[in-house]
Amino acid sequence: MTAMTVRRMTWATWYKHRFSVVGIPAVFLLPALALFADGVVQRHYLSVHHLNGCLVANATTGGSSCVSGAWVSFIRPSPTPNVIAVAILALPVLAGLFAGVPWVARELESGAFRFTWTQGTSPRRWLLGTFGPLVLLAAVSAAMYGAAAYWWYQIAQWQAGTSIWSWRWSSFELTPFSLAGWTVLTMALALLCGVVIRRVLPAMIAFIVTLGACVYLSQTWLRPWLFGIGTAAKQVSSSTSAGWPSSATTYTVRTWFQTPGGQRVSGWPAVNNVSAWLAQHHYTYWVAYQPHNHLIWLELARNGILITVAAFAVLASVWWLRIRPAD
Amino acid sequence: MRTGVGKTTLLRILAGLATPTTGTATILGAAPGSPQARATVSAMDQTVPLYRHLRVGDQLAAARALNEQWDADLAKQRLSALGMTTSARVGKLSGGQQAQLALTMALARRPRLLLLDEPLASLDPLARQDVLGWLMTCVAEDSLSVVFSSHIIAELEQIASYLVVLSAGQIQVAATVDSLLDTHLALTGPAAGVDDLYNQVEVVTAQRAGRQALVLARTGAAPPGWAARPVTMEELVLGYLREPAARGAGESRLEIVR
Repeated sequence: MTAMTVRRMTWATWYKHRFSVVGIPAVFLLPALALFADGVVQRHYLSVHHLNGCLVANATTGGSSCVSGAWVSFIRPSPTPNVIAVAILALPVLAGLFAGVPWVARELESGAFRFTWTQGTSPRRWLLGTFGPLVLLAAVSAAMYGAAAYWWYQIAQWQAGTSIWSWRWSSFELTPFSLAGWTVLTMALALLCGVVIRRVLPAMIAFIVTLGACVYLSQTWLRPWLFGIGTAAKQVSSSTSAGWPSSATTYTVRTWFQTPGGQRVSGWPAVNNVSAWLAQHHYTYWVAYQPHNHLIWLELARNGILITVAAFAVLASVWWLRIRPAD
Repeated sequence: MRTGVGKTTLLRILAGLATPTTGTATILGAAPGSPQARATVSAMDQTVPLYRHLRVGDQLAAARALNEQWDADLAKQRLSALGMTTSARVGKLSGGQQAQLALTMALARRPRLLLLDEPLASLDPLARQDVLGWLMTCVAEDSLSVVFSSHIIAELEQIASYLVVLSAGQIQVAATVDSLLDTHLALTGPAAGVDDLYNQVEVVTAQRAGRQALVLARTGAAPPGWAARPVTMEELVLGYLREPAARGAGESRLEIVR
C-alpha cells in the first residue's frame, strides 16, 4: 500500500470507528494512569522510610523490611496486588473481545463492507487498512500500560509475596513487551475469527476458545520449552546451598547427577547420605539454570513468537477474504 | 429478471464483490476488482450498504477519504436538494433517503460505469422518478453508463437502451432495446393456427385464450391470417421469462455460477 492509500484508509477508519479509536487507548491508558499514580504514592512512602533498596530485583536481603514496609504502605486486603495483576492481563483479552472482534465482523455482518469495497478500495486494503490502525493503536497503548503495570508491580509484589524473584510470572507477563505482544495476538485472532465467521457473537465465542488455546499452549508448552533453551550449567552441592546460583535471580531448569565419564544420570539415589554416596562413586551434582540476564531475551523471544502467530493469523485472514470475498 | 436467476451474483462479480467459481469476467477492459476497475466502476445493491451508526457528514467524509476522485460539490448539491442534513444519523434516515445517500456517494466518485442492483426498491414512486431523472441527467452530461437491474419493467422502459434478460443463470436476451422492439411483434390470431405458426416464424411464447391466441414472435412481418402490432418492452421481457428455453438476439456466452 502506498503512503497515500495508508493515509486515506486511516482517515476512513477514523470516520468509521471513531468511538473505538478513542476507546481503545482510553481502556488501556486510564488504568495505566491509575497504576502510575498509585506507584508514585508507594514510591514516595518507600523513599520516606528509606526502603528504596526494595526496588532492586535481587534485594532478598531487604526482604522482611520491604514486606513489612509494603504491608504498612498498602492499606488494602492482602490479595489485592495479585488480583489487580490478573486484571491487568485480562485487559488485552477484553480489548480483543469487545473492540477487535466487532471491528471487522460487524461490517461483514451488516454488509457495510460493500460500501468500502465499492468506493475504490479492495477487500485486502479494507482489511489491512481497518486492522492496521487498530492494532497499532492497541499495541502502543498496551505497551504504555505494560510499562505502568511493571513499574507499579515492583512495589506491589512485596505485599503479594515475601521476596522479589525475577522469574516469577509477573516479571514475565507484566511488562511492556508482553502486554503489547498479547494485545497484538488478541487483535489478530479477533480479526481472523471475525473474517472467518462474519457474525459478531459467534466470532466472540470462537475468539475466546482460540485465545484460550493459545494461552494454554503458551503456559504449558512454549514457556517451559523456551526456558530450557540456552541454559547455563554448574556443578553444585547436593546437600547444601554451596555453589547454587541465586534463587532470587535465576531459574532452575533441571538437575542431574553426572558420572566421572560425563554420563548424565537422572533420579535421586535411594541412600541416606547422598553426599557420601556421590563422593564414593565420584559422581557430581549439576544444575542447569537460566541466568538473570537471559530473562529479557526469553521474554523477547516469547513475544516474538506471539507476534509471529499474530502475523500468520492476519495472513490467514487476508487469504480467507481472497477466497471468500463476500456472501 | 426473476428472483434467483443470478443477477445479483453477476453484478457482485462485476463489482469485484465476489469471484466466479469458474470462468472470467471483464469490465471496461479490466478484471473486476482490479485497481483499474475499482477506480472507474461504482456499485450499489439492494441492501444499500452504509455505515448506519455514522452521521451523514461522517459517511460522506469516509467516502471522500477512500476515493482519489471525489466530487464534493455534486454530493453537497444532491443532499441539499434532498433536504438531507449532514448531522442526521444514517440509520435514522428512511429507506428511501438511505438509498438516495448511497446513490449520491456512488455518483460523487465520478465513475464511468455504475452498477445498480434493484436500487429503487425502497423508494416511493415520486422518489423513483426523481432518481431516474437524475440518473438520466448523469448519463447525458457525464457520459456515464449504467447497468440497472430491476424487476419493475416499466422503470427499465424509461431509461434502458440495452436489455439483458437472465434466466436460470444464462443470458436469454442481450441486445439494444430498439433492435429488440424492431424485430419482435405481438401477433393475434386463431388458437388453432399456433402450431402452424411455429413453422412460419420464430415463436417466443404463445398464450391461448379460448379461440384466440397471443403470440410473441421474433419476426419483422405478420404471417397471413395473423394481426400484428409492435410489442412493448414489458410484453417482450415477460414473453421471454415465460419461456426460459427461448433464446433471443445477442450473445449468450455468459453463465453465472454461484
